[in-house]
Amino acid sequence: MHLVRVIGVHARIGILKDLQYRVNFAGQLVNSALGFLLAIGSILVVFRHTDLLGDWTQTDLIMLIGVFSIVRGFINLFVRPGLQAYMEGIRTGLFDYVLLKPLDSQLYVSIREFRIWSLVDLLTGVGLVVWSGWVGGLDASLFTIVLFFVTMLAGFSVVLAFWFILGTSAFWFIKVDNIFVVFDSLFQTARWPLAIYPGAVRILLTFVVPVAWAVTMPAATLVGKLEIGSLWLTLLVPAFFVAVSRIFWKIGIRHYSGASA
Amino acid sequence: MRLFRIYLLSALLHLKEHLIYRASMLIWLFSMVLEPVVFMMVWRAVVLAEGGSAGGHTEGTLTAYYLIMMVVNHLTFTWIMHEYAYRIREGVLAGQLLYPLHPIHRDVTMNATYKLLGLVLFIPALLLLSVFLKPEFQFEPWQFLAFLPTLTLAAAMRFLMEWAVAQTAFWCIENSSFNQAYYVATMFFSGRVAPISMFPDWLSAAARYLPFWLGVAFPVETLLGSLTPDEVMSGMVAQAAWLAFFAGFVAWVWSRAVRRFGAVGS
Repeated sequence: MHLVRVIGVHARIGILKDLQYRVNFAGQLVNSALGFLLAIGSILVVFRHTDLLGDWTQTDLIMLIGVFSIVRGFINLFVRPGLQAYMEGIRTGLFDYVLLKPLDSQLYVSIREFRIWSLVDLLTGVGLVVWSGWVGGLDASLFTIVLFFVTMLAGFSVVLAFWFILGTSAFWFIKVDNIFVVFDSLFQTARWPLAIYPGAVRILLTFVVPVAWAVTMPAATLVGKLEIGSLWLTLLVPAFFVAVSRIFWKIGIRHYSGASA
Repeated sequence: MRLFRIYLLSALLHLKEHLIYRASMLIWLFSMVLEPVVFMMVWRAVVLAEGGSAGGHTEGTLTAYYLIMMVVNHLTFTWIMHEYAYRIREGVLAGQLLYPLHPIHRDVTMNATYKLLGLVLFIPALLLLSVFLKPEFQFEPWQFLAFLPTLTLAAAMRFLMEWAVAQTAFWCIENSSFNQAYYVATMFFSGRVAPISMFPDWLSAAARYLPFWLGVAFPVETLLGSLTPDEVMSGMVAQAAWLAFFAGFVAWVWSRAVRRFGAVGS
C-alpha cells in the first residue's frame, strides 16, 4: 500500500513537471505519428509481395506493432528517464541521495521519473491492438485475455530487467549513455515476429537479448500463435532476467563509492 | 594549399578524437550493422514464403543488396542534424564561429575520418556475414568503375542535404520532429526498408529522382548491376544536379542562419 502511494506521488510530480512543457506534447504526437507511418508503411510494402511473413498475416503484424508501441511507451514513460537520471547521478554524485532514501534503490530508480507524453505511444499501441483484434476476428475468451496480460507483464519485466543490466554497468564505466543505443538498436528486431529469424538468431533473441521475445509473446497470444508448450518460458525468462539484474545491481551498489563529498 | 593543410591537420585531430571514444563508436557502428541485417531477414522470410523469389529478388540477391547497403549507408550517412541543436544550445557553435573558417569544413573532416575508422569494423562484418549468409554477386568491371563516382557523389550530396536539414535548428531549437520526419522519408525512399523495386511502380519511378535513393541505394544497385548503363548515367546526372542544388541552398541558408544566431554559452 505504501509502495502504491510512493509510485503515485512520483507519477504526480512527473505529470506536473511535464504539464509545464505542453508544446512537447505536440512534438510527441508528431513523432509518434511518423513512427506509426514508418511501421505501417514497411508492413504494407512487405505484404505487397507475400500473404504470410513467417506464418503471420498483415493484421497479425499490425497487432505486433501495437504491442511494440505499448512496450516502447512503457519504456519511455519511466524506464528510460529513470535510468538516465540514475546514470547522471552516478557521474555527478547525486546517486548518494538515492541510497539515502528509505526505499529499495533499484525500485526507486525505476519509478522516480515519469514522462507523461510517452503515453501517446502507449495509447497508439493499445489502439492498434484493439483495431487489429477487431479486424482479425480476435477470439476474446477470458483465457486469451488473461494470457495476454500475463505475457505482457512478462515482457515488461524482461525489458525492465534488460535495461537495468545495461544500465548497471555505469557503476564501473561511469559514462555509458551510449549503452542505450545498444538497446534501441536491438529493440528494432522486435518490430518483426521472432518467426522470421533463422534458428540460431531466434534463440539469441529469446534467451540472450530477449527484447524481440518480449514483444512477440503477447502479440502471439492474441493472434492465436502462442504455443502452449512454450508457456513455461513466460515464467522462466523473466524470472531469470530479473534475478540477474537484481544480483548485478547489488554488486554494482557495493562497487559505488560516490563521486561527491 | 592552405585548405589542404587545414584538412590534413583537422583530420588527424578528429581521428585521435574518435579513437578516444572507441567504445561509443563501436556501439553506434553495431547499430548500423544491425538495421540492414534485420530488414534483410524480413525480406529473406518473404522470399522463402513465396517459394524462392519475390519482386525479382532471390535470397542471394537480397542478401547482397543489404550487405552492400550496410557499407554504403555507413559511408554516406551523417549525424549532424541530431547534434546541431545541442551545438547551438550549449554554445559549441559560438566557439566554432570564432575560427576564420566555415564550420562546415570541420564537419567534413570529422565525418570522413569517422567513416575511415568505421571501415575497420564494416569490412570484417561484411566478410563474416557473407560467409554465413551467402550473397549472390555478379560483378562486371564497368559496375565497379561506375560504383566509385556514384558513391562519391552520393556521399557529397547526402552530406550537404543533411547539413541543410540540421540548419532548421536555428529556427526551431527543438527540431527533433523535423529530424524524425527526415528519418522516415529517408528510410522509405533510400531503399533501406525495401529495395525500391518492391514499391508500386509509380512510387519507385518517383523515388529514383529523389536525393534519398540517390544518396544510398543508387550506388548499391550500380555495383550489383541491377541498373543499365543508361540508368547509371542519368542517375549520376541527377546526383550532380542535387549536389549543386544543396550546395547553393546550404550557402544561402547559412548566411541567413548566422544572422539569426544569438550566441548562447560562453
